[in-house]
Amino acid sequence: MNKIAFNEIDHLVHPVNSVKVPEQYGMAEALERYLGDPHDGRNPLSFAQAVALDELEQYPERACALLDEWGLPDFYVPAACGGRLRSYEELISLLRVVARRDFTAGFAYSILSLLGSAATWVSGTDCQKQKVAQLLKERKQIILAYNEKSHGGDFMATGTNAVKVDGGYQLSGEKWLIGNAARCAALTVMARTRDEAGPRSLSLFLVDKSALDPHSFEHLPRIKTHGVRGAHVSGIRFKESFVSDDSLIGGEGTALEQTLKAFQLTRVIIPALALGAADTALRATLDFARTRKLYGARVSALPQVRRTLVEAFIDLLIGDCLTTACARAVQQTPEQMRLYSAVVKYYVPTSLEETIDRLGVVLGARHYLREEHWHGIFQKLLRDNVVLRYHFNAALNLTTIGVHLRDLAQQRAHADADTSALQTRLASIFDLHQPLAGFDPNGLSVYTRGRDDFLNGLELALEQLRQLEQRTLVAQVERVLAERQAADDEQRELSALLGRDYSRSPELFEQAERYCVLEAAACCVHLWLHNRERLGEFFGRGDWLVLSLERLLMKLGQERSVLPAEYEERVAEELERLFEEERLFAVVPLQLAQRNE
Amino acid sequence: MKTMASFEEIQHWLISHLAVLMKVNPEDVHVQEPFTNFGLNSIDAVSLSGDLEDYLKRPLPATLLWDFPTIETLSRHLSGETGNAAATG
Repeated sequence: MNKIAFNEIDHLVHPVNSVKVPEQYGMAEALERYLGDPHDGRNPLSFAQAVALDELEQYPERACALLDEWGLPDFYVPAACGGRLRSYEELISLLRVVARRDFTAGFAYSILSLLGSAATWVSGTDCQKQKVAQLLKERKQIILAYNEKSHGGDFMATGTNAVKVDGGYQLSGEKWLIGNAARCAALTVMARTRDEAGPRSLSLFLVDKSALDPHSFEHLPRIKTHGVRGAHVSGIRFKESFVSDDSLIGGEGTALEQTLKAFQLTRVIIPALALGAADTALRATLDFARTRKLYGARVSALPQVRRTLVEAFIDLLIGDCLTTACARAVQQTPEQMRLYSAVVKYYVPTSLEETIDRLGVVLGARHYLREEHWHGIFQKLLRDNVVLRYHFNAALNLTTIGVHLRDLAQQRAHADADTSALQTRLASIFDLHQPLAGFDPNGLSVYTRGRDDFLNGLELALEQLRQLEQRTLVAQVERVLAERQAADDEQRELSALLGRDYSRSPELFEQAERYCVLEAAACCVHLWLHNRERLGEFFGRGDWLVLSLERLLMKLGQERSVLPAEYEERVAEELERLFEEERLFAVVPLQLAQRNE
Repeated sequence: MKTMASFEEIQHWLISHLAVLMKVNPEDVHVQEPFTNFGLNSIDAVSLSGDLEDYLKRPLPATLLWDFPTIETLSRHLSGETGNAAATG
C-alpha cells in the first residue's frame, strides 16, 4: 500500500549553479593541505602511521604535535573568550578532516579537551574561562572527570566527595575510565557537595593539577581498550586534595544543570568523528571495488555492490545534513539544543556504524586485515567508531529525546506557529551562506519545550516544493509528514496507556529512534531548499535528496518505492567523481589533500 | 486570575495533573512524597514546570522541581507562602 512508483524523474531546469563553497569550510581545506597526503606514510596523520601506533597502543604524539603547531586547539576556545571558535559548523569540518585520517587523534586529542572545557564556556567565571583558554593556548589538555567505576554514567550516584573547608574544598574519591587522566593539565570534576541524593547535591570543579599537592592524588593504571587503542584511558584518585573556592564552576549544587547544558555543545561535535570514519570507510571500499575484477567486471559495477556504495554515500549525506543543521542551530536556536543535540548524537554515529558494517561486506576479507589494503585502516576505524556508542551512552540520548516527545506532540496538535518567524529561523539555520549569530551560552536550556523548528517547518517546506513543482519530493515529504503525524498519535496513545511506566518503557526508546529519523528527513529537505542554487549541480539537482528520503522512509518501516534507475546512476557518478577528485563525501565536498605521486 | 492561585488550588491541580499523567488514583498521590516516587526523576521533572507555566500563565524555571521536590513544598513556593526558601531533601 505504501508502494509508490515514480515513472519519470522531475525534469526541472535549475539555474546553472557553480559551487560557491561557504567560507566556514575554507579552514578545513587549509588543514587538509597542511596535513598532506594520508597515503604517504611519512606524514604523521597518515593511514600507515595511524595503524602502526594503534598496533603499538601508543598515543599519536607526532600527529598531536603537528595539530598543535597548526593551532587546532585555538578552535576549541569561543571567540568571545579570545579563541577562534566562530562556529560549531567550522569546528566540525576540522574534526572530520582529522578523524578521517586517525580517529584516535580526533578522539584523544580533540574530543576529550572539548568535553573537558564545555562546562566552563557555559557557566564558568571570566577568570575560569581565561584559565582554560590559556591552558589550551599552551597546548595543554583539559578533560572531563565524571565517570566512576561503580556507577558508570549514572552521575546522580557520584561517590567522589567535595567537603567544604576553609578557603576551598577537599576532594576525595576515584574517577575511572577517563581518557587522558594521566596526561592532562586540568580536569572538570563532578563531586558531591551534599550527602543526600538529589539534583542539587552535585557540583563541578575546575581542577588545575599543578595547583594540587602532588601527594594528594594519583593516577590509576592504564586500561586496555578494543578501539582507540592509542588513547590513554585510565583514572585518577583524589585523597583529600585541596582545591580553592574559585575552582567551583557555577555555584554549589549546579552540576546537573551545567552538565545538561554543556553536553549540548559536545553532543553536536562528536558526530564529526563518525562522519570522518565513514568517509574513509567508503573511500577505502570504493577504491577496492573500482579496481577489483570479479566475473570479468569491476566489483563496483555489480548492481548489489553499487547499491551498497550509493547507500553508504547517501547515509553520509544524511548524517552531514543533520550534523550541519544541529551545529548551526547551536547559535541560531540554542533553546532547542537539548532536543537536537541528543538527536544528532544518537542518530549519526549509530546509523554510520551500520553503514561501515555494510561496507565491510563489500570489502570482504580485507575489512579485517591489519595491513595491506590502505594499511588496514578499515578494521581500525571499525573498532574506533564503536567507542561513540559505548563511551557516550546512546541510551541516555534516547531517554533525553523521549522526555520531549509529549510536549512536541501536544504543541503540534495546537499548531499556531508564526510561520514567517519560523521561515526566517529556518533560513538562518539552513542557508549555509548566512552568517551565524554569536554563541550565547545563556540561550541553552535544560528542556526544549514543544519547540522543534526542523520538523515543525516541514509544512512550509512542502509548500515550497509544491511551488517548485517537485512532484517526487512533494510525495515523499507528504509521506514523512504522515509518519510524523503517526508518531505524535502513537505518543499520545502510549503515554495514556502506560502512565508512569511510559518514561522507562522500551516503546519510548523506539519512538525516540523513529523521531531521529524524522528529524534527519526534515534536515535534508530544508538544507536542499535553502542551498539548491549555490552548492553545485549535483546538490541542486536533488537526486541525492530523493534517495535520502526514500532511505529514511524505509527506516521508518515503509516499503521501497520503485524509483527510476537514473537517481542511483547519477548519485553513483557523483560518488566516483568525488573519489577521483579527492573530495570529501559531503554536502560541501571539500578539496582533500592531493595524493603524492 | 491564575497568577493568584492559592496553595490549595495549586496543590489540587498538581494532584490531578500527576494522576492523569502517571495513570494513578488521585488518592495515591501524596503531597509530601518526592516527585521521584511517582516516576518523575530529575530529567523527567523538567517537563512538569512547563505544564505549570501554562496553568499559572507565568514563566518558571525548568529546574523548579529540583528545588521544590514535593507537591507540598512546590505549591507553597508557587503560592508565595514561603517566599524563596528552597526545600532541602
